[in-house]
Amino acid sequence: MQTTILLPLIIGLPFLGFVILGLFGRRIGEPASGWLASLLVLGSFLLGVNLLAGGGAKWAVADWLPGIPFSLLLDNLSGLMVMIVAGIGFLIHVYAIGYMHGDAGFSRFFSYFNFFIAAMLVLVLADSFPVMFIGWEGVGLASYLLIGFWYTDRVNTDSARKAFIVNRIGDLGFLLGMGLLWAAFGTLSISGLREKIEASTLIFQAIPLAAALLFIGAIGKSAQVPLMVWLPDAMAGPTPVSALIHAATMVTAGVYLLARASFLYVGVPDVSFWVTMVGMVTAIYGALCAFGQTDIKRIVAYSTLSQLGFMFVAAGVGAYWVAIFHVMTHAFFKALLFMSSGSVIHALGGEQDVRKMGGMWKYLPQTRWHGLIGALALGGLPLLSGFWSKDAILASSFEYSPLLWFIMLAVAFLTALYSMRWFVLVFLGEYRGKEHPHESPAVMTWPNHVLSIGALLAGFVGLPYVIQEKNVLEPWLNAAIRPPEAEHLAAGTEWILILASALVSLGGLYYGFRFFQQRVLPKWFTNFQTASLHSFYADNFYNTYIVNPLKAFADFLFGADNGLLRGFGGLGGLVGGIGGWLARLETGYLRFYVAGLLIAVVLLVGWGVLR
Amino acid sequence: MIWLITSALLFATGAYGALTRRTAILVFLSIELMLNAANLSLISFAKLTGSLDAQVVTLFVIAIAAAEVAVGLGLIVAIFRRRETTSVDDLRGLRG
Amino acid sequence: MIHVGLWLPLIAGLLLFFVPTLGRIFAIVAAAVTFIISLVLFAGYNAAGTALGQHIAYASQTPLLQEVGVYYALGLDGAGLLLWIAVSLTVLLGVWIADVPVRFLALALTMETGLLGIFAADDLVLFYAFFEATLIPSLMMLWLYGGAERLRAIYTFAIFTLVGSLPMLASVFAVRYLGGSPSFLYSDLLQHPLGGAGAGWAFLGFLIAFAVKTPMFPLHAWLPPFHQQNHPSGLADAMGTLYKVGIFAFFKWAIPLVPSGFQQWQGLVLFLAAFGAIYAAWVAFSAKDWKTLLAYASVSHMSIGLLGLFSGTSQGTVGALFLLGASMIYSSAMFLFVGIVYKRIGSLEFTPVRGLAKHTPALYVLGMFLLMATIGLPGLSGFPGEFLALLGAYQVSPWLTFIAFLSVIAAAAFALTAYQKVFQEVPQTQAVPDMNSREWIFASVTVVVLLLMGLYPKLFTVYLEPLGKAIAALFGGAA
Repeated sequence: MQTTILLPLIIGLPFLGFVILGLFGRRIGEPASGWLASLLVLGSFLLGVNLLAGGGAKWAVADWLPGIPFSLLLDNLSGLMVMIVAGIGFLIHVYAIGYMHGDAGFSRFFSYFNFFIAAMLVLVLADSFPVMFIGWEGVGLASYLLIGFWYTDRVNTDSARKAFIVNRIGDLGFLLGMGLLWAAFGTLSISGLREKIEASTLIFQAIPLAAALLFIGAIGKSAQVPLMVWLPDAMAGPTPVSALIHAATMVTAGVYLLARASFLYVGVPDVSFWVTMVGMVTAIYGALCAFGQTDIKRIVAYSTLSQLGFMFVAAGVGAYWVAIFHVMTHAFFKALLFMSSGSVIHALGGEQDVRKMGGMWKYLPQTRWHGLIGALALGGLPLLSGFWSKDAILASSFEYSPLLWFIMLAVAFLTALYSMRWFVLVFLGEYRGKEHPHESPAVMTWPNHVLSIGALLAGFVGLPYVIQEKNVLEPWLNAAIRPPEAEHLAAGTEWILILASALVSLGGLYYGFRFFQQRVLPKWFTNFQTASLHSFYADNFYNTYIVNPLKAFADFLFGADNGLLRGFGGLGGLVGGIGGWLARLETGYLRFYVAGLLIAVVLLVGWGVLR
Repeated sequence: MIWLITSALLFATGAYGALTRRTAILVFLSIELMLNAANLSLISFAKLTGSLDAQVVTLFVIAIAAAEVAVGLGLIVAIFRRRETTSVDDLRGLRG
Repeated sequence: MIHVGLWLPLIAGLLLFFVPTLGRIFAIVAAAVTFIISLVLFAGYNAAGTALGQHIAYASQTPLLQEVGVYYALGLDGAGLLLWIAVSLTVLLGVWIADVPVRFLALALTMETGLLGIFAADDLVLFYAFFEATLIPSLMMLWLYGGAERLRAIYTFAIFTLVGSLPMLASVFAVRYLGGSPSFLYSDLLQHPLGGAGAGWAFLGFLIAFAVKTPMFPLHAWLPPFHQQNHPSGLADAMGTLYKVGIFAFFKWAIPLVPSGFQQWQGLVLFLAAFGAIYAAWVAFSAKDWKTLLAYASVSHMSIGLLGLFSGTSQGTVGALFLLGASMIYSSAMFLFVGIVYKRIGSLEFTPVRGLAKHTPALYVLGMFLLMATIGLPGLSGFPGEFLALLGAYQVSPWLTFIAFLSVIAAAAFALTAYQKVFQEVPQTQAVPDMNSREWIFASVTVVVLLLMGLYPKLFTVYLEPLGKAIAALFGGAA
């Protein structure tokens, strides 16, 4: 572990890109600004890999705030995240050069994009909660800017605003968690806290609440129930944004936080139980909502929600390395899904409604494979990346509780179903629109080729122990995460679980493939779809019972503040009234004043004499 | 002692005048009376105590009173020019 | 040097007021020289010491009324120094950017002396004099250049300020005579803190006066009309923002001089601050124009600062002072920014404007930046202060902290909603020009300063940290 200035440079490169493109982007123009941004991110990636190969790195400024250092740490956990963020980020940058071609805000887009990467890298490299919070809010801002990238459309700006505000609810939890940790331990350095807590045999009373508060932050950022409403709306942004921010990186920040702070959660099963529950509910909710969506990106968005739920379940049951494993595989196949959706949208001139798609298999000879691989990996086809990570999650949830395992297995079945729905509606059948589809340029297909390889193979770093005694990922990550103390399952159970999840996903994929190719879907299903399309009315519920009352109350307070407290009505009025009453004493008659004067003199002198 | 009593009577006369007269000139005169009553008592105290300080003060007061009279009368003349009256009851601009 | 820096703006201001032909350039030069002097003071600042009163640099004293112990005494502690810089920088920015009559600039310069005096005064009576005298130019700006209903605003402002000040005058004498100090000098008063039965009352006197100037709920009511009626250029608003010195005054005078009084009132103030933070942010959501919005926003921020300060902890104190300095700059810049927008569209209201970003992308970015600084985005100037205030306040009262920090959500809501209305959505306004070079300079200086404060707060907090520790030591806190 070396201390090196190169570490902040990982963040500095994309930040530099943000500044340069922000100031001179228009002069640099298209496509140079896109390539500049991409290369800077690639630079970060290479630098990160290099430092990681050198055994990690750290860097700090002491007393950045009184008692709080600005410290960065590159260990295996953050190193893996750097590789995901910068590596997949680079591919998406390149893709965006093609996707954003001809947009008036081309340079602005890449400036924001670089800003996002910089903020995300701050988040993952932070070794101190306040520093992490900089990145935490920074990615929120980047997300806000990018969702509302086409800001002339009201829908986009509303969605952007919603994302930011909902994120801030979680951020409040994060802030208060930091307040509590500081009050209890007097430090906010992550490694410092870890040392303190792990070295001590005492049970700190503050930990459960602190863990819960940080978890609220994670809920907001990772769009878990009940703060999930912003993520589907975030699809208003350009598709590379959805791929980068709302699938591969930012939304996984919550999972990363749980893994990074695992030392807090390991000792508090109550909080971990709630992490599991929230993850489970989100997984179910996301999966159910995915069935009814008609927007190609919203289907994928809800699947993201559901997959994030899987990750939270893994973190909740204590399998932190599994959660991060799923973050990694998910980053590959979800970015792939989004970018093949983007290619389809691109091919159809901006059309996003799946009801006007279909038959793309014929028109898009490369994207069709990307879409297929993405859908199969999401659905958990055995041997693909999604299968291995999901299987690991299922195995660890079985250790926690067989009931949980069964529920998650059911959700995995649903996942296979809706991923096939997506694929069938987009690529199979007859084309239902009027455009002339055309395949995307190479700058867009090549990143997808790379991602496809990842989606196919990334699972092999985390094989179950019955296949590979010591897989690559687990010991590597456990060097940075506090390893769970659980025993392995018996080999026979493990094999049965693998078999079960393989069968379920195969069955789901096959059934989905058949079911959604029917011309007329059964009545019960269309009814269900209507509710699903409206996300089971979560937004309506929030608007009616929370947002609108709050707004109305704001108006009420505003009126009250104007009327009661201010000027003539309130304190000012009181003083004015007294003044008006006193003014009547001023008769204007000179003799009145003189008499007053004399009486006062007599009284004063008299008092002086008689005292 | 007699001088002190005289001074008190003089002061009372002045106060009575200032309270009852309506014409600004007469009010002003009454005030001058009160002022000089004060002067008189100062002088008599000076005589009683044998100190010179009070006499000096009296001289000051007389000198300044002269200036004050000039200003005061000037004001009254100016007011008369504007308002065509010197009755203090008509001058009630300060009424609340 | 400190004397020159203090009186230069007044002299320049008076000169300019009576000889307006000297022009805008003269005002800019005067403000710039004042700012440079403040930087010189910053560079030469060295005051090592841990207790309050020991770390005052550039101290000087001349008796004014020796019999009663009133001195013309100046001196800067770390907080005074930083706020001095914040004021001189903001005035420079304001004078630079605002399109106003020359006499207006002259009043701003005049006011600057008063503000600097508040931070530099080391004698309680002198402090009181500066504290009150600053009101005059502020009222004059409102009176001469305010909007149609300015009389009402003046009335409210003056009443709040003056009524607040009288109890303070009583407290000024109380701390000197009941505390048994030989003079009104800061150092003497610190040696004789007021305790006993009178302490609560003495603190209350300060509390009322300073709460008006913080402003603290419910004494904030003068602020919205004050901002609404002031000149749309935002210069007067910026100066008014600088005048919100309540937190500094609490820190330097009220708390160390009457520590036991502080403890009596602490609970109430913490409650009002927490409530005020969320209340003002909530109300701001319903604001229909920029100035009302910013007025309530600043009430909300200052409440957060007050919460930190009244925690009586080191972090809380540092946070409150940092927040005060930062908010002086970003709130003022925001008012001036609103002035820039006004110059283009002739309105401060949200409703008739849409989609300004289409025509003025640079202005759009500047506005976004300032708003983000305002709502305390980490990495910008608003965050360190807010965060430290949180850390301090949490140690005293987690629940009140929770209530107060609900305002971070509300802040995001009101700021982004207003921003969206004016800058985003379908353009409905005619084409207007983007920033000119004068505005670019304003923008770059502001952005650099706010970034510096956010990314490297250490540069400033090192000056505040000993002060925070000293305050905490008053109440037996270690750090």
